[in-house]
Amino acid sequence: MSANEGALKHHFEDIEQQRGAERLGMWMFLATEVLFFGGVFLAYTVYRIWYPKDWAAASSQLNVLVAGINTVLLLTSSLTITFAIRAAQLGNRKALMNLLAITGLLGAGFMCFKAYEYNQDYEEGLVPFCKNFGEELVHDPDDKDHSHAATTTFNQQWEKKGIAPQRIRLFMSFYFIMTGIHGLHIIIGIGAIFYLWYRAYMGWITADRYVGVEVTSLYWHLVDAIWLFLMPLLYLAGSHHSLHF
Amino acid sequence: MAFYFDHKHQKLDDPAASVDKPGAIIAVWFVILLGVIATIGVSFAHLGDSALIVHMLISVVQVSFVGYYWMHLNKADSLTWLTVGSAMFIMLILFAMPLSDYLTRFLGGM
Repeated sequence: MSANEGALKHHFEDIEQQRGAERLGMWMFLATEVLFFGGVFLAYTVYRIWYPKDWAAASSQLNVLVAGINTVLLLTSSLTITFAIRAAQLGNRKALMNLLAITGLLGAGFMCFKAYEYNQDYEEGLVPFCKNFGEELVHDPDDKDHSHAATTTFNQQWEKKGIAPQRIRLFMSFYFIMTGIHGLHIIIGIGAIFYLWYRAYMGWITADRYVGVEVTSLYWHLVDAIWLFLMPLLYLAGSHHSLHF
Repeated sequence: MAFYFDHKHQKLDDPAASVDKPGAIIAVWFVILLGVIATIGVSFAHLGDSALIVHMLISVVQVSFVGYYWMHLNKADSLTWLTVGSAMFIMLILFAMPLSDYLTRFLGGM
């Protein structure tokens, strides 16, 4: 019996029909995912248009450098998983395992930076519904040369500029919900990628059974694509002057 | 290169024949990275409200590259395109209907 006879399920006409069905199934799932995220993006759009000044001020507090590094990590993981499909199609098991491991580790790196960022947000008093929200002591922006100790809080600064802290809280809620849902998808993706690695290690992924890698990559690319919208919407809604940790 | 013989249809199956070229995969990565640099650069340009439009245009171009090349829509059959098109169309309705309410309330009549 050839390998292909084993790969082809009895209810499919041929192997290409089977692969097409497997891809279509994932695409249909991705369509539901697009609509799931679409609802959150819609709500974001409404408030962004209603409160542009407040949301720009809130967004300016976020760490663009970490977001930029995370974007590069995620894009590079998309690159490596695309190469993983190629390795699977060519029957190169060792390259497949290495590329899957790199993809998973890049995803894990993304989550580590996200955890660092969440911790930084908490320390800076940017987590909505925490007692310290907006109470972080910062330098007065009018004190250009920082000649005095930090004597003002974010809340005081926002009120001075006519920005409602409640709306900053609303933005930060969107930030945590959107990045949280996205992060959950990343964690699921990492799990799927390491499961594929295990399958490759066991020798269960052969050139004629590469579609598992391809459909997982579809999911991973979608998570990447969603981040490409999330990043500018959340981190770049306000203007920035410098990049720093 | 791996060849498998499909005994049911007496024909060869050759997954290796449809692999992407490494140069093409990397070229897409570069284009998307350039988009990332551009989108961060725009936020330092103090464009005000119009920055949102520029950001979204860059994101749409980046995601189009991801979809067309990395997600293999360039090799996809019509059913896959129909699924993607349906998702986009329903997304359009999802945005158009509520926004036509929320963004016109200042006109009065409520």
